Amino acid sequence: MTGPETHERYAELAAGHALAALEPDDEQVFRAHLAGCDHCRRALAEHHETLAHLAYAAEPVDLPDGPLEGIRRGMQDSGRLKPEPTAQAGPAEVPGSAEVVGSAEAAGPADLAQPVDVAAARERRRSGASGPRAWMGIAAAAALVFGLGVWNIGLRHDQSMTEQRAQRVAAAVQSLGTAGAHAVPLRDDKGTQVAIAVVRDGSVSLVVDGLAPNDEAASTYVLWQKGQYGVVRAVGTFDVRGNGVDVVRDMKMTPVAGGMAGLAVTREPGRRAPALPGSVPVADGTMPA
Amino acid sequence: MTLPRSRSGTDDTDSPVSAHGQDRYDGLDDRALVARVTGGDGGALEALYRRYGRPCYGLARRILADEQFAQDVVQEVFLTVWRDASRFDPARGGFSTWLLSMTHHKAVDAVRREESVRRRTTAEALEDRESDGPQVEDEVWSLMRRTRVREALQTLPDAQRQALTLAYFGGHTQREIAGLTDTPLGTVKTRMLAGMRRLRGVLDGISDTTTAHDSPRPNSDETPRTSP
Repeated sequence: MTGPETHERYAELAAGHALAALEPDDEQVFRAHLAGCDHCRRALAEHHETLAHLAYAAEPVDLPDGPLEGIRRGMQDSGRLKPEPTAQAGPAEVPGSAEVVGSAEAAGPADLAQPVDVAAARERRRSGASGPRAWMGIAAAAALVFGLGVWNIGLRHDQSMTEQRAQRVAAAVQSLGTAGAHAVPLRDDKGTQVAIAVVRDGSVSLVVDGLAPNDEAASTYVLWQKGQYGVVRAVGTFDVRGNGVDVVRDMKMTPVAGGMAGLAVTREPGRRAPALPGSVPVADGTMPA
Repeated sequence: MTLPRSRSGTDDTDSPVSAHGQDRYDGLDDRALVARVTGGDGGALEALYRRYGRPCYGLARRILADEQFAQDVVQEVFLTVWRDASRFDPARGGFSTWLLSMTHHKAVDAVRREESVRRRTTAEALEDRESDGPQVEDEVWSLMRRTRVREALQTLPDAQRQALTLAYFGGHTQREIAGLTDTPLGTVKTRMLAGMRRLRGVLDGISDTTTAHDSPRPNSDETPRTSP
């Protein structure tokens, strides 16, 4: 059977299949058809791509530690966990392509049909929740509460910075005064520290060392404060003129519901801060606990 | 689709990999990490988890409305990757698409099997509900993405949006949606397809680094049907 009507019917089944919403009889019909229809395989891949976007419409939630502990336990139990590699990781060969689509189908019907074993999943989390790794997070949190003094020592040992540069940045931070202040390192997407925010009494100063100079005629950097409930609010704008250490002093912040969770910097076209960030942050950081 | 790396995952995940190790993995793209997972490199799987664990968990929790079940799903999704990462074919789509698709399927499967999990039954609740309690710090880029995707959803006619959200976030079948909305099954199918096509058209204008949106396409025809 061919023709536009049939084609549209399978197109509808493809959408329903991508949404995991087909009734069993339709699912069976579509799976049988899919095996021999490149058009529907492409359509299905497009649907999955669209739905991956849709996943981000869900409200953000904190990621608990449980799944990672369970994943670690599962890897250990699998018996194929290799020791951490000692060589620098480089590009690796991509495994051979199986004859599958870039979607859940790629996991294979057997994987998708395999329900989550709730009891086993929770047992893995319980088993993996203890041990030395759990202490790493506690130690990291403890280090934060020592404040700026300890942080400055840490700065000098940051291997992304030269000693000379670390001293310059530390001196600039100290010049702002440290009493009652919190230091928030702002890092780029590679994890390199490119600025330090010194937050105190409703204002924030920035020590910038690592952001690329912007075109002052056509763009500006914007510092954003991020609230605990997802609110993002512009604090102020600034320019970076050269490659030295720049200090931007006393930008006023307004309270956000639930308190401030972190800071981010974007580079925006024009000379004014937009209502919402219009580009991916070039740096961001989280307020210490 | 290749989604940008979630830096928040790096910050808020207690990884066994050393700081140097994280740097090493964070410099690799998804394909390279998947290749390493295939070779038994657990650090590579943790790097993928740091990138995508959060959206996966957000989606699973949205569907399941239960933290423990959502954790079960996310954990098993990543262990599925661990067991057979070679099934991911980069020629057919991005890793994040594959991963989120698998998360969706497993979460929907769980919501249909677990009677204790509350089912979401109204499109309004799906679209407008914010989380019940304080959220952790938000990533600016994820806020932007969420805003844009929600705006894209708003460009859909109500009936199409309702059909998509009840299926995707509610885990309902087409027949269940027909019953919930008092609509013929055939019309539900038509709405889903029309909604998917329209949403794709709008989302095509979304990139991770621009704010440009494609103008919504004209409302597609939606002829009510009375039979499947």
